[in-house]
Amino acid sequence: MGDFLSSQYVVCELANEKYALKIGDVYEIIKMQPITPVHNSKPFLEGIINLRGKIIPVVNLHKKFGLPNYATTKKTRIVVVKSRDEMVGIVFDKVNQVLRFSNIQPPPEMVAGIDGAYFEGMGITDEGVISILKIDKVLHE
Amino acid sequence: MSDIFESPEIINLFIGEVEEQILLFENGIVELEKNIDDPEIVQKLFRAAHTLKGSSAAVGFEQMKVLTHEMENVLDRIRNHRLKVSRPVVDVLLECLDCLKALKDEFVADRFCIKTDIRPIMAKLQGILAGSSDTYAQKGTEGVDISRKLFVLNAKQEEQIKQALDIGQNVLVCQVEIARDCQMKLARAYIVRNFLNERGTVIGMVPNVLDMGDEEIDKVWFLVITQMGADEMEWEVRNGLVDIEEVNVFPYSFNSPEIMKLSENEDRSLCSDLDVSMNAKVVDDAKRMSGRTVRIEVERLERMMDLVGELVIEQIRIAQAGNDLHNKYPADETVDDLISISNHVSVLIDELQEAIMKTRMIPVQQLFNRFPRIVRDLACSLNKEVELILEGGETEIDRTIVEDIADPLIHLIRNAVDHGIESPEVRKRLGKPEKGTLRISALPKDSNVIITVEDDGAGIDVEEIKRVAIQKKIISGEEANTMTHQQLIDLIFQPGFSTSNEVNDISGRGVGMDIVKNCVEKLKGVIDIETYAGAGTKFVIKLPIKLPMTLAILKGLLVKIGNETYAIPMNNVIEIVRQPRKAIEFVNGQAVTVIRNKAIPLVWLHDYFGIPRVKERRNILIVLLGMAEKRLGLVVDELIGNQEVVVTNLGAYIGKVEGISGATVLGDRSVACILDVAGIMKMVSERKVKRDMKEDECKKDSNHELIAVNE
Repeated sequence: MGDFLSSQYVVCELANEKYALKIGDVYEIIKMQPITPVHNSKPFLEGIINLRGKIIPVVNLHKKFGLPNYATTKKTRIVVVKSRDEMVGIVFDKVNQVLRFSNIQPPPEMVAGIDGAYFEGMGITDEGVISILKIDKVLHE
Repeated sequence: MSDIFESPEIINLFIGEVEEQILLFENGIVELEKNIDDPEIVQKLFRAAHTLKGSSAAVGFEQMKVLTHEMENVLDRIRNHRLKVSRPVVDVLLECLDCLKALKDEFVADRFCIKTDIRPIMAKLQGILAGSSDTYAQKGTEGVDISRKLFVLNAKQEEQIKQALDIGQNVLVCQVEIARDCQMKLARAYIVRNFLNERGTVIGMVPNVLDMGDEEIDKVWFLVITQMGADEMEWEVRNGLVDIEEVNVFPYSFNSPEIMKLSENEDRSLCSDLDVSMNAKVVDDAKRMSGRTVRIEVERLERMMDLVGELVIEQIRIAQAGNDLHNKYPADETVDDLISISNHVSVLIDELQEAIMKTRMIPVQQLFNRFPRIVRDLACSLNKEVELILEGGETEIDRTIVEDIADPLIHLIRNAVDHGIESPEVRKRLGKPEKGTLRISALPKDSNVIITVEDDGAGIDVEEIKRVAIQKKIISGEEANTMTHQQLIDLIFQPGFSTSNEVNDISGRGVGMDIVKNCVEKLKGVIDIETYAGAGTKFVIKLPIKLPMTLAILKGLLVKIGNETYAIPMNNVIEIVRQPRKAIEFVNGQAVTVIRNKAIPLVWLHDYFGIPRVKERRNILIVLLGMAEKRLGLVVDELIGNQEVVVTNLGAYIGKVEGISGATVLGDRSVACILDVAGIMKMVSERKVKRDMKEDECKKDSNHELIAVNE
């Protein structure tokens, strides 16, 4: 079961670049909603939202990875992941599909200008290579 | 000793009772010192000692039983006017009390290992008992005038007494209470008289039983000339006669208020007796009442509090879910039902919350009870005269608050007696009454209680504060000159500040006022000082009456800063003021405005949070924030209103954020951050210092100290 789950991935986009998240890490995908800013906190913390009565933080990976910032469109989504027992939302420009990789390669040192340490590996599909995010590392370091 | 007395519950009950009785006793003694002749106080003390004796015997606490027994003996003598209350007696009684406390503490620690030696104090008590009759002999003639009023003596009787005293006989007053159910009281009174005549000569009798009906008689006083001592006579009457409820024999010259009252008008004897029986009834009622109360461990109440707190939060969630459902299915009847049930449950929860809150409320009197002794001891050791006035003891506040505010108040009291109130000589020279006044009051106001500690002593010397603060490098000389009067006074709250020239064990160790401040801050209260040179000092502490149900719910003031909504805890909001922009002044680059004659620094959180300042308007809205002694004006752009908010912390992922204590979901399901007033004050003072540092980096070490202080 664990194997099966971890072999399915959610593919999302950040600034026209595709990234994959282990489906087991993803708790929920919601539409973009107003985010209340929390000043003087982590630099890439976008703010907090109300997820059915629960207040959860939302991070901005565009900022973290030094990508051009997002502009909210109809397709913008907040992907809520569970990391270290806490739910954290991540703003993605788009969520594409759920898929399986036929093969996973270890990540190179740099992936599109981003430190390779943030990635589990590179997933191979028929259409090309998608980098798999190492959620704990991305959120906490 | 049976097993039941070994059980922890019984032991805890016992300890609780001992603490209560000790407190009663303590206050009684201090009162007694002031009103030496008040028989009610003696009675109260006697009862306390008696209760202690009974309960300590029940748990097999031998030392306490023996000691309280002896205390009871001494009090019994006082009660029966056979021992006069004097300073040494009071001192010994207070010593007994300290000994009882020590015993209790040891009992709590390990009841099989009691080390306190009660022998010295026992010896003192026995000394008093032994000495009491001598005291009588010496003072025997002093009170004649008073006793004379009870028995209106004619010349013949006076002559008889004089002669009797000359030949060394005793003149005794024998108070006999005839049993209530006795059939022929009149006859009984005569039997007593004859009985006394056999042992001496009865020369007077009050009231004159011949004039009264049978029912009306129950207490009779006889004036007897006899060879016997008072104790001997009492024993004889007690054991030699039947149908006698109570016998008290004491030398004639002794001063007794009860008798004095009687003597003013003999006809009032009946009333007085009526009073006695009324009192008895009151006591009975009190006893019955105590049977209907339950002692509960505080932990259980706390647990209930916690549960209700959670209930409140869940209820808010149910209501929210109900509203969501209603939006989705506007026509659904079941949803309407759900909403009406949810509303009803929320009313019930409110009531439950209120009821549980009430169980935690105790009258401030319980705290005030500790003060008379403290003030007495302090005043004695400093040779000062202090009149303590306690007001508003019936005001009820949450017990945790009462407990937590005790030490700060005691500290303020110590300061007032030690530093505030001058010695009688000085006061006399200044034309003040020699006795200083210390007034402590508690007044409920809205959902707060205002506690004031006010003395009519010397007041705080601002110049002295300035001098000491500079000397201790708390502030620099230049700063001192720019500080306002109030700011200088507030310096006494700085750690390490003490103006006392010599350190003693009472106060003036320089740890105190900052602790008072921290404590008030912890209780979410505010403290103000008013002081007038030569006329005294007044500390005003404002505390919430109730603790918040849980830390998870608070009353918040919703405001807008820029276009972001923030909640400010109402506890910290002192008032909301609209000021014309012109009223803002700049002192050393800090925006300041005057509100109610106090200069208040203004803060735009915009600058700290990176929010652009809204276009300047003619008037600015200021939320005046208070935290212990600190005040700060927060400039906001819009007021939305106040409401109960459920506090959610920001979680471990976000962690601690400067100036923000958490967040809450508002009615429109959006999220607002809750401002942390303490954090904001800290943030503001720190950044100010940073700016100062940049301005003149050449300033040396003294500046580092400044930072530490401002924090």
